[in-house]
Formats: sequence, structure tokens, C-alpha cells
Amino acid sequence: MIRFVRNIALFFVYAILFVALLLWLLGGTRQLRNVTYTLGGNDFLYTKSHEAESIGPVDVLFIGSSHAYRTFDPRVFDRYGVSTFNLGSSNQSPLQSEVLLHKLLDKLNPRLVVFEVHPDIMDLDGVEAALYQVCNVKPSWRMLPMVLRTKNMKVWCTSVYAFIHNTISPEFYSFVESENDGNHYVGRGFVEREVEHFSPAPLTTDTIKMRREQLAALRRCVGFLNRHDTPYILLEVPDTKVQTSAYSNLGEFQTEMSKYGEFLYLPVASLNDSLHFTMSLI
Amino acid sequence: MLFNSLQFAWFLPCVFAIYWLLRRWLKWQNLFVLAASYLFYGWWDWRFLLLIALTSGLSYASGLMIERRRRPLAVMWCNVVVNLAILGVFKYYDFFAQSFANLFLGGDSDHLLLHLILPVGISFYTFQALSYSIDVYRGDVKATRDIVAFFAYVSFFPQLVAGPIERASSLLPQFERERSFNYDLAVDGLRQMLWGFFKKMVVADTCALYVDKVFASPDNFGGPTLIVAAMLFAVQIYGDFSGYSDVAIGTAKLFGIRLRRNFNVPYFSRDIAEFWRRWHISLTSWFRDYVYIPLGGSRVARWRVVLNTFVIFLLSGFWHGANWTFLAWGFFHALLFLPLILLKKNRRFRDVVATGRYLPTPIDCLRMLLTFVLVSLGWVVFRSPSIGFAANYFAHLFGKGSALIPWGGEYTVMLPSIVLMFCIEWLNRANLHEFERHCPYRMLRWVGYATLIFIIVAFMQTNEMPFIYFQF
Repeated sequence: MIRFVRNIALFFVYAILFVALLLWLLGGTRQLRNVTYTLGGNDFLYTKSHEAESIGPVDVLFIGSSHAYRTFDPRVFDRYGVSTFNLGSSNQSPLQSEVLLHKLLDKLNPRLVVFEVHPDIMDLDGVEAALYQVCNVKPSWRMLPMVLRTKNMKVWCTSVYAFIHNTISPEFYSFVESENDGNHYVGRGFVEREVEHFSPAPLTTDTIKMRREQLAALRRCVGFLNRHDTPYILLEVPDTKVQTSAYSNLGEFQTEMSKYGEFLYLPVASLNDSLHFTMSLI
Repeated sequence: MLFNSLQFAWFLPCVFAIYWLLRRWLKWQNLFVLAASYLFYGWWDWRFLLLIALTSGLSYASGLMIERRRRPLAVMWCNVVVNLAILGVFKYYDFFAQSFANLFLGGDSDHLLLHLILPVGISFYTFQALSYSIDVYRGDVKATRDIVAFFAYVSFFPQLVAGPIERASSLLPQFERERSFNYDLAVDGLRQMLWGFFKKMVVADTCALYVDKVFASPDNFGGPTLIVAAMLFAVQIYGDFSGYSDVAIGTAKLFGIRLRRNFNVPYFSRDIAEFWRRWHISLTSWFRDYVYIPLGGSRVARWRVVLNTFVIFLLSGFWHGANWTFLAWGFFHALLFLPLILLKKNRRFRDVVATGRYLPTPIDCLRMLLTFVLVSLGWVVFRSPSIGFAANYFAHLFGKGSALIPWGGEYTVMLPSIVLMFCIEWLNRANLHEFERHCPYRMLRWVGYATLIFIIVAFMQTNEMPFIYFQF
């Protein structure tokens, strides 16, 4: 039995190294189904995460999904003498926010964190955003718990490839993200897009589901901020009327969110659904 | 709990460790196996544990009563009827009610249907429990008094939900005697598990992507695509089910328990009779021993042989599920089998193909190809949701339409993995399983195993892909 356990342990280590090596060697060929390495994207996470490392302290840090990075324009806050940085990214759920907070909170040292929460985001498995984050943010062991929590082989394989590739490849450090799909990086995390005519289509009513792992990640995030003595507010950004009215239990979601700290919800009544309102969702 | 799930990756090492810690206390070890098996099964729906406990309890009690010679025939039949009734209610009631309503009530069946959820693996463990009481009645095995060992025999988790369907004569004694850890057996089990995972998670699941797309709308595709999809489904169902069996048998070996072989390179068969000796062996032999031979087998008048052949194949088809397509599939195979048995050529190929040679003869190649094509045609009916669908599929086999090339993108690994699977199985066709140890150098073996693990993790589907036979 001892021989069996010893050989299994040896083989386990050997297999992990062997598989990691092959993932790294062959991951770049784009032939492996479970390695989907993509550098750059609509939300400029690569650019903003690198910029955040050197920008220095700010007054307010915004973090969250695309609702965050398309909503809070640092130029507007500049007019009032408030320096801000926007760490929002596509589909970013609390699982990914946790990584960014651990990695960048000390460097940005904000006086306030605005943590954007959205009903749709709390129901995500976090796979898409995790893939995006492991490819675009500098490799760090802090990502490991997030990667493991996704319980997804695609995230695991891509992470192995991205970790090795981004650590040793000069290509990662010299990459310049360019404008894509009409998205323009303004700076300090904000991504601008031309205003488009918005024609809301009716949505079927659905119940907001909040995943246990996302709520747990949110709890860890606010716990981290508390330990760091950084004030924070949870914010649900304005949404279209058509979207808001499609939730059958929005009140329940808001009650749940208010358990994690001060929660703000900007009412949608003043927004015009029919003209020049760009849905920036997900 | 699925074999290809993270839960199982935690479950198995924990159960393995505790199981061998209890090796000196057989009763406790069996009790632990039973608890672990019930946990494994209850992961789907704990309510069905009552059903498996009822089936086990009935068969256990009937065994004791038969051995005490208290109306043994009546007791045996009583156990058979009650167990089949339970199976019938859960699996077939709605089918018969719907068919009755279609015939006599103009299809209005709402008030007749029960809409019961089919308990996972019910067909497998029911047959396993039935074989016990029949064997006790026949005197082939002695009734056990060890209730824990018997319950563990019925519910042993590696083979609980999709077989192999074990016989009391081979599995029950293994629970009744002390087991010692066997290094070679455990390593062989891990090897077999790895091969099973490769077949399921790479070969079968990748084929499923193609097959599901084509079967979702066969009208949109041309004949060549439909032919490729039919053949790929043949590969998929083999990779899926034999992969499951390999994982099950391999897992059992980790616990020092040997299960019977369920597949023996069936696609290297040279005729349908050989195919049925190599495909789902535990079910085929069950029907042979408990239905076909009691009916007289092939040693009766010709018309009875014909009848027996149809009975066995129709029952085998119907065992798979409550749908006319399964009956049609069984009927189709009966038609293919009948000429062989009537001409007494059903036992022509008893050895594995190309025994003692590396390559088959051209005539063997043709025979294997023809058998594979015929079997693939049968699988189209099996895979179809209705007879009408299957007829439409066949009608389009020679028609025009768009082509779906099984290469590139998500199908990149499909053909290479199929070729690898059949090559490895060809090399091991005469061995006890398809991934037996060949290379004497440990380092090379490890490279081979690690490469297989790499292929699995790099190409497996990330969404949960249940085993096809779980639905039966």
C-alpha cells in the first residue's frame, strides 16, 4: 500500500509538470480546445490593469462589471477635483473583483471604493471573466484561488498557459491594446464608445438568481476592504426600464446586497429608454 | 454523482483511504462500502435510495425463503414479478398508458400518465438483484445470511448505475471474504480508468458535438453528412458506454474487487453474432442465461428458434427504454442474427480476429466493415426519438444538403482520438482489457499515461456530459 501511495504521489507530480509543459508548448497553436488565450479586448483590462500599477493613490476606485467601466467617466469627476480609477471589466463578478482588489488596492490606496453590483452578474459562473483576467492581468499567485473556484477545465488550462507565457514572454509586456469595435480607451480605466440609438426590445420576466459562490466572494471582498480600513459602497448602476422591469424580485436582490454594506441604488425613472441610451451591459 | 465530475475526484480517494483502513474488520468494511454506495447514489436523488433498499431487501428475503424450501418456485416468481413491477411502473407505465391513449382515447392521456422520474440505474440493479434469487432457486449459489454483504453486492457504487450487471456467484463471495490490497490489481485498475476516461471524455464527448448537431436537424444535411453522423454515433456510444465500464471495472479493482468484462472490442467483430458476444456482455449473457436458454435456446424446433431469437432481441431492445425505436432496434438485430443461427453459423468466429497476426486478412477487413456498417444503421434507429424520425433520416441518406466537415475547430481532436482508440484496442484485442500494460519501461509508460491525461484535460468538454446509458 505504501508503495502504491508513494508511486501515485510521484506520478501525480510528474503528470502535473508534464501536462503543464505540453499546455505551454502547444497552447499557442490555438488547437487545444481548453486553451483560449486572448490578449486585449473591449474593456481594455490589459491596459487598465497595467496602468493601475503605476498611477498612484486615487480618491475613488470603481470596480465591477461593464456597467462600472462604461458608467463612471474619470473626466467628469476631475471637474470636481476628485481623482478616480475604474477597474471594471467585462462580466467581472465578485470572484474576479477579489483578485483585483488584492492585487491593486495597496497601490491605488483609494479613500473610497465603489463596488458595482448587478443582478445579472451575481448569477454568472465567472468562467468568461476568469479567462479574460488570467490572460490580461500580470501573472500572480493571488489568481490561484479564483481559478480553482471556477471549477472549469478551460479556465485551469488557460491559466497554466497564461501564467507561463505571460511570465516569460516579452510579447506580454510589450503589447499595445488598440481601439476595437468602436471602443476607445480614455484612460484611468474608462472606455468610451460612440452613442448609439437604443431600441429596447421587451424582455421576458425572470427571477434574479444569486449564486452561492458569488455571494461568498462578495463577502470576502467587503471583508478585505474592512480589514484594509477602506470605506466602500455597493452600487447598482442605472439600468434601462425594460431591463429593470424584467426582474421579478429586484427588491429581494437589493435587500440581500444591503446586508454586505451600504447599498445605493440609482432609480431609473429619470432615464430615457428610447433615445441615445447605450446599453453597456456585459 | 458522475465519474467525470469533481465530486467523484474527491469521493474516490476518500472512500479508498477509509476502505483500506478498515481492511481488518470485514463487516465494517462492507458497511462502509454500502454507506459510500448509498451516498454515491443518493447524490442524484436520495428518495430513490428507498427503492434500491426495497429491491435489495426483497431479493435478500426471497433468497433465504427459497433456501428454506418454503414454496421456492412461488417465492422466486413473486420476487421476479414484484421487482419487474417496480421497474415497469417507473420505466414503462407512461409508455403503455400513452400507447393505450393513442389507440383508444384519441391521444388524450393527461389523466393516465404518472410522469415519474426514472431512477438512475434501476434497470441495472433490478436485473442484478433478480439474478440472485433465480440463481438461489436453481441452486447455483447459496443464499447469503450476511445482509450487509448482500446490500453492498446490489449497490456497489462503481457498477451501480450502468453495470456491468454482476452475478451473485462472482461478486457476492468477494464481499463475504476478506480482501487484501493488491498493488498490481490497483495499478491495472487505474490504467483501465484512465483509458475509460479517455474514451468517454475525449472520443465520445467530441463525437457527441457532431452527432447532436446532425441529429438535431437531419433535413438540413446531405447524405454523406448523415452517413458520417451515423458512424460517429456508433463510435460515440461505444466510447461512452465502454468508457463507463472501464472506469467502473477499474474503480472496483482499486477496492480489490474484480468485475466481469462488459465489452470486448465489439467493432472488430466479423458478423453480428460475434458482435453480440462482445457488446454489453453482462446484459447479453443475462438474457441468454435467464430468458433464452430457459425458453429452449437454439435446441428446439426451428420455429421456436426464430421465436426465441425475436423474444431475446425485442426484450433486449425494450430493456433500453420505453420507446418503439428500441423495439425496432432489437427487431433489426434479430433480423440480422436470424440467418446466422438458422444456418448454424452463429459460432463461426469465436476467437478474436487476426489471432497471432498483426493485421487482419482482406476478407476479415471486409467482414468487420460490413458488420460495423450494419450496426451503425441500427444505431440510427436507437438514437432517433421516434420511428418517423428514423425513417426520415434513412430517406435523406442519399439526398442532397449541406455538409458538416468533421475536422477543424471543435472537431480537431475527433478523428485522431478515434484512430488512437482503435489502434490501442487493436493492439490489445487479445488481452483482458484494452489498455493492458505493454511497455516494460516505467518511464515510457508514465510518458504514455501523462500524454493521455494531457489529451483529456486539453480537449474535454467543460460542461457536464452524462453517460448515455444512465438514462436506461
